[in-house]
Amino acid sequence: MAVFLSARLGKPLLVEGEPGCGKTELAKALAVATGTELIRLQCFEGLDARSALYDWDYPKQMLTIRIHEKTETPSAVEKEIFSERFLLRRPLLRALDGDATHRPVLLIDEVDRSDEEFEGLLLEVLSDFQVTIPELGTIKALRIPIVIITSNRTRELSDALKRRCLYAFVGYPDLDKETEILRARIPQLDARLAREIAGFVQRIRGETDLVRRPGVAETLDWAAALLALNRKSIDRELVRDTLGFLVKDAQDLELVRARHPEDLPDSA
Amino acid sequence: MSTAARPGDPPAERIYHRIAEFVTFLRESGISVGIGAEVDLAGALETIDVLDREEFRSAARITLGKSPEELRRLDAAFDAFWSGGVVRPGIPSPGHDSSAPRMRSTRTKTRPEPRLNADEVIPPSGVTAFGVYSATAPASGHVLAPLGEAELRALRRGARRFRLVTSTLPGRRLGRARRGSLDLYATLRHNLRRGGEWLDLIRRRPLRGRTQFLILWDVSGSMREHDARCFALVHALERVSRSSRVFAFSTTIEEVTEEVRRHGYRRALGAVGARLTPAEGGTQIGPCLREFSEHEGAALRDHTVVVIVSDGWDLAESGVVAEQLRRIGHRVDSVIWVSPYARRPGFEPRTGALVAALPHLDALLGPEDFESRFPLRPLVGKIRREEPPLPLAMT
Repeated sequence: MAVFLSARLGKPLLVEGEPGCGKTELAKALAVATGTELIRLQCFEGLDARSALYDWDYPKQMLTIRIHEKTETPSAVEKEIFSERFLLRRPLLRALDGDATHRPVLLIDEVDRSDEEFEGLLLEVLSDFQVTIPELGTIKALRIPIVIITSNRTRELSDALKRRCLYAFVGYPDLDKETEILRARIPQLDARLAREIAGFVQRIRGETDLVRRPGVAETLDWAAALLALNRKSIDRELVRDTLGFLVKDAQDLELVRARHPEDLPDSA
Repeated sequence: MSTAARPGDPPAERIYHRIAEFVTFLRESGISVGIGAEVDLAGALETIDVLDREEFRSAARITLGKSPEELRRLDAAFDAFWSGGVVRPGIPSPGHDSSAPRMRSTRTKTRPEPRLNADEVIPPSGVTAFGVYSATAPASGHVLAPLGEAELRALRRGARRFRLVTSTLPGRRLGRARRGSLDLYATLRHNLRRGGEWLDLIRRRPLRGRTQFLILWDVSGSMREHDARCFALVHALERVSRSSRVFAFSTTIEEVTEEVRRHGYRRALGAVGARLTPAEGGTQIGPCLREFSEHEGAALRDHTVVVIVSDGWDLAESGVVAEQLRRIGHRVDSVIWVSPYARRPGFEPRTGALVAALPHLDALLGPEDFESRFPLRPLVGKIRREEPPLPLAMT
């Protein structure tokens, strides 16, 4: 319903949740389902307008200056080099600058990794769906893109950004849902093995002392590994050998190895 | 002019009135809902089956909630409001107004919900603390006393100094500098404005990473006499770093960042006090730390400074504290413990939790360290050299 409302109301959807729960996958699936382009902006510390919004093609501008400096007036050269021909469209601008027939899906991934300044930059884009380029003027979206913003909650996002978004929290799936996901994503996986895998992962997630709980992405990795090993069920030895696919922290690995193998059958 | 729904109003008008009343109820319950979110919910009603209770609940969660904590409180408020559990003067409940739209419930009720009087749910202060109500507990929250202006200013200065000395790791952000690596694009952009001649070179180097404070504040009974100073410190620390978060703990832990962040010091006293349970219980530091790292594990990063404001009195096993701090310490920049007794003459860490925590701490400070003009850098310098985190004598 969150995606539906986001699309209908024309508002960005902020999706928060534990890492590996399918937040990014939601945007990818949406793009596939709607048959539109997925434009992805991966956030990181230090991300700025040049990487997210637009930049000028400076080497090309320099060459153009050299070519025309003898024949054109300085103002004509300046007008030329700050035209759309020299504009490098980054993900945010590409999402706004499409034609009226397409409504792309814009994924702003892991926004909590970016700085507060970048959030400020997003405000104009997300509230008015327009970008102001001093040399060219304001570019307004002909058709508002479907915007999915994901966050792992490593820091609190600003109120201003939250206010502009609808909100959804994605938690870990239950046993049935996770089994269903495994069957859907890895159709070759035996139904019984899928349920065994999901059950084991659910038990590991139940551990309160884990630093990083395995997400759905880890479950899928592990299932794919077991499939590659041509295994039909899980046992103690197999878990010991392949646990690194599921648990990706040294302390957690020790903890799970110490506790869980006892719960497993010795062999299939 | 009354905004209450009237029986003669068209159905759409009536539901909009009810939405406005619901949002008012949420605000009175301490959930911050903006006009924009309210308009979003009204807009969503046009696309959903408003008579389907769960669909309506989902729409309310998506449009009005902004964090997992708010979603939990919103669910409780939703049930209280839309089940007719809240009877407020001037606000007719759907259960009482036969002309108001009724929602179908898709849930099977196992027992009848008790009908509550407005005075039981909404205390006179106008703030409802869902989930913390108990028949035996006092209705009012944790009363926080204000601190004097001079002490407040001193603590704020100390908090600013503290941020500066803890922000030592270089981040990925680059800033202009006289010396540093050449920023080719910035140089090109800069010189384009000068006819394309390379007159100036622009250099950049990594800026200091922004410290994120995760403040764990003990609000148990044993800390009551230090409430004023500790809260002032917590508020000051939250203010110096925009991405800081505040958690209050006693036997349970809950986030109070919103209440601290939204208000200035004086109003925050009331907002936070109303949110907390009365400070009469004990402390379970270890289990609270475990719950904290379990739910907020993603926030524990290499530029995070965990600040624990507590006297160390603990009802739980101290081994849990040690284990949790060891695990947290591996993942963050530093763990600082602020004890209200740390600067008292003859102080020795004797409380179980504090003794267990010491090997895993980077420094043990007192609020006086923030108030005094004594520079904090040497104390934090000790942290970096991994010397024992014992209280240092001020000179």
